[in-house]
Amino acid sequence: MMIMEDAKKLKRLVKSVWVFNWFNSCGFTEILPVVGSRWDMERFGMIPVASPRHADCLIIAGYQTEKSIRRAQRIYRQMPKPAVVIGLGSCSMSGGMYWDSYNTIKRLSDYIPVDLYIPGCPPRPEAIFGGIMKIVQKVKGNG
Amino acid sequence: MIMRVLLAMAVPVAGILIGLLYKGIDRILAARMQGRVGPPVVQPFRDVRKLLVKENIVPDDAVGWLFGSMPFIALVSVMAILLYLPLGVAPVLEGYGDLILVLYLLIIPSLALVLGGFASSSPYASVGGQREMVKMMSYEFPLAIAVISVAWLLYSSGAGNVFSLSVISGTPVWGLAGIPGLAGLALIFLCLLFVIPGELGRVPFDVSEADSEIAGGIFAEYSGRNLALFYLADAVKAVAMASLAVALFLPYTVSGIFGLGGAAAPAADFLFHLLKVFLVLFVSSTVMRVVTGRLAISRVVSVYWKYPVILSFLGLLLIMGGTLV
Amino acid sequence: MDEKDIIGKIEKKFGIKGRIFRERRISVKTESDGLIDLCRYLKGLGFGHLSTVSVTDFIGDGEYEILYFLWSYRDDLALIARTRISREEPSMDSVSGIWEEAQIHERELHELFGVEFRGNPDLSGLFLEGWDQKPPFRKDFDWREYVRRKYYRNDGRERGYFEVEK
Repeated sequence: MMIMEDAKKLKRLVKSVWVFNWFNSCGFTEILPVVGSRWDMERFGMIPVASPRHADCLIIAGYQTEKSIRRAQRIYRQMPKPAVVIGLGSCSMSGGMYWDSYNTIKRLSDYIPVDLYIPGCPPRPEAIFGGIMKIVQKVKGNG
Repeated sequence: MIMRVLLAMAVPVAGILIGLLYKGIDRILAARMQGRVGPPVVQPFRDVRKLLVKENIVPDDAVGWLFGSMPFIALVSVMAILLYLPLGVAPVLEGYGDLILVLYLLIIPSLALVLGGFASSSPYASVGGQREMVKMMSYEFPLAIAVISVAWLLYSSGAGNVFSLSVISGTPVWGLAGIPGLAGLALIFLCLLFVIPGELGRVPFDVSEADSEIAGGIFAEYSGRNLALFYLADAVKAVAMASLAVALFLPYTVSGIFGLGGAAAPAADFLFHLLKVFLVLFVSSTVMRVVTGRLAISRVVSVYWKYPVILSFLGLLLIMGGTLV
Repeated sequence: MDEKDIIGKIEKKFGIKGRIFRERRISVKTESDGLIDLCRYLKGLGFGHLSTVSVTDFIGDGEYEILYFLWSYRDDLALIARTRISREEPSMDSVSGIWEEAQIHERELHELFGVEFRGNPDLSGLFLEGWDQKPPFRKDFDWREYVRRKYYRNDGRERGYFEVEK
């Protein structure tokens, strides 16, 4: 798990987290208000970036198919470490609504090391912030 | 001599700190204008500290020495520009370089971006590099007209070496050509304010580092320490560009008004210069960033070659008419 | 033209009886080898828009029914052309020469049902990567068993932790 290593580096990282979103369809709809004006994510220093080389945090929102999880693995390899992976929504935890589909993955941590799961379908912006605050508190609490 | 060397070491560092501070102020003001809360003012410092901690990835196919050296060249050249510009006080390297040198030095950071883009082995970065080259070709024209107009006006008013920045910042240009000259100078100042976001790569002219279109553009493959150097170069370039605009058009000092002497005069002038730089950056970079959207690259060229060129030529004609009258 | 006019014209030319089952909705059923001529004729009649191509799996009859949903801009009415083909070796002429938009619909049906469309320029896969089972939308493909076997095995995971497959 990424969280436990490099505690000193992570302390610098949580003050300015640059987020890369990787999503298929419905998982991203509740990240948009997080980026927008109402639940502003920039007041914590987080900005959405477009290239995985700039990103500290990979948010995988929603279900991933067999095809897209390979691309997600490639994106994870491209991110400079230390990095944090967040699985958003119940589809990354257990398959969610697509638990018996022949083409979606059922548990994200079989493919990418995940640091945090945020439940919800999709989770509300307050829930997303709650999850991020858990990571921040955990980093601050360790050493 | 010793003083000059010490200043030559202190001014670039001060430029970095002031540039990052202005970047933070710009972000929080833009956020407030958009109805958000915005990050704290020290956020760019945290961004740079975070970037220095990250891994520095060099792609396998990239041209390694170009890829790694271009961020350094960008930052160093921008810091060098600061040494030739008057920051309220006389420039640090006063007799050694003039306005033409500053104009040439201003090309180097953009060229470093382009080369860095082409040296990364990514199609997104190549597209970003091409767009940056096209953008450079577009905004050099109004910039050159603005500079030449001011130099010509000073020449026809009998100042000494018109390209020396000390002479330019010693002679305010607004009253030299009468009422038509005033109108002409206002037009040219407007065009120069329009060139500044193009030079700095802010919206509406950030086609080369477009996030949503080409996945980061020029910076697509940069990470860690290289990206931090580009970030710092961008911050310092804003201060340098705005200082150039202030030196050309708003070179007023405040120590004469208050009658300060000794050591207080340079300090007051420096602070007043920072205030003027902030105003220029606020109008041309922050407000423009908030109210406009990104232009496509074809429209960038036509926007720069149509309206600013026509307006600045009109301004030049008005100035010439003003001196004849 | 009215719905009745169109049905009359089709019946006169091809001898098949259409059915009006609602205002502005016609349905025509034909044999599989006569379909391509019917489609060309329908395009000439003004049905310039192919909404989609779809397949229904009639496992009891041992047949696939292929449906073409057409729309006429000129007369503002929809026509559904149906045909049946064998389920064991499904093969059909492609209508992508008549309506270009059929190409991607037939590509999807090839991947999901296994129907081979002769004449389609590109029948490669769209959604499934590394698929080695039966086409998944067939009614005799037990997808629950497949998912249970692949993702929910109890006797150890078959994938390693963070394995990259390319």
